[in-house]
Amino acid sequence: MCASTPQYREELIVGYVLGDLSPEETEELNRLLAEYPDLMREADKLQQTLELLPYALPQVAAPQYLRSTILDAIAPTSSKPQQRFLSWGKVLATAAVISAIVLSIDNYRLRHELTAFRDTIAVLQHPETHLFSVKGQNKAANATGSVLMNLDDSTAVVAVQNLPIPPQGQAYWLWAIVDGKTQRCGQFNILSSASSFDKISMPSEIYQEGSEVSKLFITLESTQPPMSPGSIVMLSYSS
Amino acid sequence: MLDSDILNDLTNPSQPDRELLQALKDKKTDALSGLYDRYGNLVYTLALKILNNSQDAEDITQEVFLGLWRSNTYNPARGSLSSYLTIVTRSRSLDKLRRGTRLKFIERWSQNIHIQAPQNPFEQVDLKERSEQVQQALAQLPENQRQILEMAYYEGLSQSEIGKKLDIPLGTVKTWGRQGLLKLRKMLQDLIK
Repeated sequence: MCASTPQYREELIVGYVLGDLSPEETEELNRLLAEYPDLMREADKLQQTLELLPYALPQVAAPQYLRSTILDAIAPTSSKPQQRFLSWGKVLATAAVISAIVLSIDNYRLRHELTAFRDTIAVLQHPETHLFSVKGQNKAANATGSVLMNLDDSTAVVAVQNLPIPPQGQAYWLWAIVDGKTQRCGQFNILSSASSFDKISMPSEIYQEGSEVSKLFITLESTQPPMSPGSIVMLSYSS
Repeated sequence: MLDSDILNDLTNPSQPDRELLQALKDKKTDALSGLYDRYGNLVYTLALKILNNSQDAEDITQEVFLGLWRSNTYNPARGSLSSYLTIVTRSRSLDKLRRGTRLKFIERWSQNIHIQAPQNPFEQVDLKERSEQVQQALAQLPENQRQILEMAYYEGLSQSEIGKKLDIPLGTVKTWGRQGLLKLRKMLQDLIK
């Protein structure tokens, strides 16, 4: 292990700030940080320097309507309390219900369902999990379900009951209205019309900290990813 | 106008950030419009620069300000509100650019390392003055050095990615990047805590 020169330490810090240290260099830097505590201070100053760049940009005015769009979004709507988060008691109770559903499925589909079930438990144990109840309508008036969303890894588990298996060439899609914008979450599969669940990976840009999901809905569309939801809604949740 | 009148008028441009942020916590909508009028273009301009698309830039701007309204992640001990906003804007814009591949950017706000608190976290950033200062400093950097820094910041590229893109050896990129950043730091030292 050779002694480092001030120049080398400087290079490491700049590399750190500009985002390109090899694993060896990172280890090296960690070692040096213990020996030279001022290095972090220096890195912070360099980081601040880089962050000054946007101030030099010639300012572009945002479109006029953006201001009112933003202010309208924060205007208080209904006085009904927003329940976006369920207490752990309720979430665990739902897990019991879901596990009961799993156990009632025959062995033929058991392997698939067990994987989805384990995913569900993993999702439920995660602090950034949100649970929504969806109710059937139109052709799926008898359907019920729950959607568990894990914000941290952008996945959702959809558990539904009494939703018919889609015809050939069609599939169910989950949509969410997040901060007023309609987003496509993903496609999920139905293996049994009595009850079924599936895990989907959502695009990560759907949800940000503090986002508000005002509506969730499930539509039946073609298996090709639809750009916007069709008009026949099978199940939905409204806040 | 009485001082108390001024303090109650949240849309007054001389209202300090600190007051607006307190009013924001109290859910006064005028506080958000005050902050938007102050920093909206800064956020929009940066998002637009990174994303090159006005619809996307509008979405990011909306997300940033709604985020400010909804959550308390701004910590004044770590720095000024304007630098918080640029950090968040850049992070979200780059995420959108890369469609979710989480980039490991050094986010000062997410670091647990205790950095000595700046002396005046609520300083009113005089955007015009700051803008001129940074523009002048950048103009004094050699073109190649400036380009490395801008690609690192606006495109979120690592030095090796920059080297590949410009077809320049990594060693050269590192040298230019280092020299540029150090030079810039010296020139702008009174803007840095």
